[in-house]
Amino acid sequence: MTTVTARPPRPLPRISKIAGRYLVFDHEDASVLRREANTNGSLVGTLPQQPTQNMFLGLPIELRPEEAEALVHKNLARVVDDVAAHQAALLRSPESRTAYIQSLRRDKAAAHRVLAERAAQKAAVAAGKAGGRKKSKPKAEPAAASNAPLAPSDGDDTMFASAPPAVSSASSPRVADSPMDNFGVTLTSSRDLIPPDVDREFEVSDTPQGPLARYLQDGGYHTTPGLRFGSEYSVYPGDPLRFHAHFMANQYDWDEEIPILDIIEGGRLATAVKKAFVIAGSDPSKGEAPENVTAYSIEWAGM
Amino acid sequence: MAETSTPKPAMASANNNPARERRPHEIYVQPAPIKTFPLPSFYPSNPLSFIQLAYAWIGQILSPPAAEPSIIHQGTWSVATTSVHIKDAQSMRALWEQGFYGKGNLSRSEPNWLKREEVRRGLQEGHVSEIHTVERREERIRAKWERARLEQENIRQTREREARQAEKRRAAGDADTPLKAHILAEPLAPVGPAEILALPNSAASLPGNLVNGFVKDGSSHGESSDDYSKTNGILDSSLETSDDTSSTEGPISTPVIPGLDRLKRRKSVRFSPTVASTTFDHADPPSPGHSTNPKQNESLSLVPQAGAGVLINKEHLQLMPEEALWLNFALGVLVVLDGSGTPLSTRALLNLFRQHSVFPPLTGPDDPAPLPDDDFLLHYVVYHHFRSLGWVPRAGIKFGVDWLLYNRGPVFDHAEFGLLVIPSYSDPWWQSSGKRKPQKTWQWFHSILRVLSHVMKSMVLVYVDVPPPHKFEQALESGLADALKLYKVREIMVKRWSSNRNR
Repeated sequence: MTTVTARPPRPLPRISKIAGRYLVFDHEDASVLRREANTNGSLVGTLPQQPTQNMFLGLPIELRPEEAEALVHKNLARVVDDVAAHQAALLRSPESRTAYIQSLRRDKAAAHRVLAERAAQKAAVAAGKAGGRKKSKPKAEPAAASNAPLAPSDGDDTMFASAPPAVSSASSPRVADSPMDNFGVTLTSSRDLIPPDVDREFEVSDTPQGPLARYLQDGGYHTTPGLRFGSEYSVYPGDPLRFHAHFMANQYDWDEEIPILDIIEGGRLATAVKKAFVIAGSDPSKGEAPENVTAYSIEWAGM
Repeated sequence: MAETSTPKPAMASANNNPARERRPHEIYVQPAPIKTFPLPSFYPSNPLSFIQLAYAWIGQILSPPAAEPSIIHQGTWSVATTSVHIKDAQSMRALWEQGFYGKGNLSRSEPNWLKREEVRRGLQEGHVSEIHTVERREERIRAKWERARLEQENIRQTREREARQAEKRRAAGDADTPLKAHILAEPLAPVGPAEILALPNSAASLPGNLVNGFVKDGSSHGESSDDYSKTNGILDSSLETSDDTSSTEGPISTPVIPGLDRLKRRKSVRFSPTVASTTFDHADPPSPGHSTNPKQNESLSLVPQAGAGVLINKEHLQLMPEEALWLNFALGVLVVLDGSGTPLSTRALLNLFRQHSVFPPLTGPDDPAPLPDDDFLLHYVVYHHFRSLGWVPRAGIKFGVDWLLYNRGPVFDHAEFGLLVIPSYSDPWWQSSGKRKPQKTWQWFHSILRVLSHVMKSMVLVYVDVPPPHKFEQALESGLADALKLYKVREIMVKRWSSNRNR
């Protein structure tokens, strides 16, 4: 499943369990899950300032519990109780808190640098267009801006500190006009807050499992919620951005009686949308999912 | 008014029919298999209507019509199919035409196998819905092929035109063209179905270069190019014709990709230039090329001429248990015989149907007695309810629902509603006994809603309030009618509402 790459091995993608939901916040984790673990999840994130109810949502992605369980079962991801981990990390020692603040400062400094470079580039382009009269001045600015954040003041340890005065005003009065002065860093990630050992301590192992989710994950299928097709999963042979779903899958208990009307409906609806209806169950006497899962596909023949 | 000749139309489907085919409203005059004799109404403003009334009244007194039901049909209970079989041809027609009861075992619904067979053999001119359906399907397939052909033709013409225009521009040699020609010469992004199909399936099938799915260029003729033009007819022919019109091998419509000669496509859909047959008759073998014995086919097709005179009706009518009980209990026009030929009473019939509403049937001596919420009773209550209100309920298994409701009958209109029977245990006795209502998922709900809205029907949830067993048994002692009074039926219609579409 995992491809051999030259890069150093990444830690396993981290799934945060928050209020019973399984969320992936890190975009790299999300892309790893999508690329290498055929799990795409559904985007659920939106901005509190500008909530949207359409389908154009962003990170985090939400996984269904059985999907998360299937990933953990295959050792492709780990689930962490995020609330407990945060509390433990914050309460453990004051050093962890200060370390986190330092990391935020680093992020902020990096952002400053990037912005300054971009502004400098723009200025250079503008100067070039104007006729190359002031070529020397814009070049001096990025150096000043990038040097300044490297020496932050130690006394300030509020999380949402405004840009330290040393950054802009000390080096050059011209930088104060640049947009980065009003630039505050929003807390985007608490990744650096939780040390790895604490993270490992709060890993969750009692995720409810779904045999069919494991089976589909194991078979390399992508799944999305199948509610609009009247099933539990829409099953894709590859990335949903590339393929249409081929199956609509429902999971049943091994001894559960399946009403004939359900099979007729599922088969009829699936065939109407050019898919096949899949029913699956796992035999508890034959070991563990996904090896013991049996699945049948049903199509409306219309003889 | 008394319709004296009503039993006759029941057998009117035979060959001695007059040339004109009867219209549906003539065939299906009676909505139920019993006759009614209403007196004409009296209008005080029109004194003559009193004479009419008096005439009809005296006529009915002097020669009273036969007691209804005048004709009692006979059916046989079949355990294997859990249905009641009607084998008499007249009864079959009568039950179908007077209320749309039952289903022909060899037909879709109306028992018309004999007629279909005669039409198929050319013995009779007529309209049979099954044949009509097959024809309509064939026509639809032909229309789809024609549409696809026209689309391809359009694409081809557009390409020719564009090639000609490009040629003209190049001949004119103005300053702007080089850029455009350059763009055209680039391998275009694969947008059409043919190009997408020509894409390699995986990285494994690529020998080295990324190929954009474009087929051979006319300028680089090799042995493999013939191969391609054979297998991929449509795209190639269009390219060739564009080459002909432009008469030069310019870079316009023929993007050359290095290494294409080496490319071997593992899998692709081939459009065969010769399509032997797109439509099939029902008598055709499953795969024409693999017909086991051609002589067998001939003998089959010869049968009609040989056995034309002795066509025996092999069909019987199947009544669902609910229909049989309605005809027996509510209308009294049916007697059901068990396997040994003895007629069953209404109570015996009810017990039999209740026992067979589950599989395996609860016929053994140790099996528990069915509760008042068994499948048969629930469905019968709903059937009885809607039949009494004048609707025509028919089995809805083909759409995944319990009943389909027709306004007048399947020959007149499509079913308007799909009914789902859901037991409701609102009585305190059920709550104390720990009975729970059926647990259904949203997926179940959505799939039914989608299937029904796809066939333009409305979904109706029919809740049946089930009485507690002791009350039911008590009422059943005094008769089935009293027991049925304990059930209550509530209907809730569900419609999918979308804010975008229902503005």
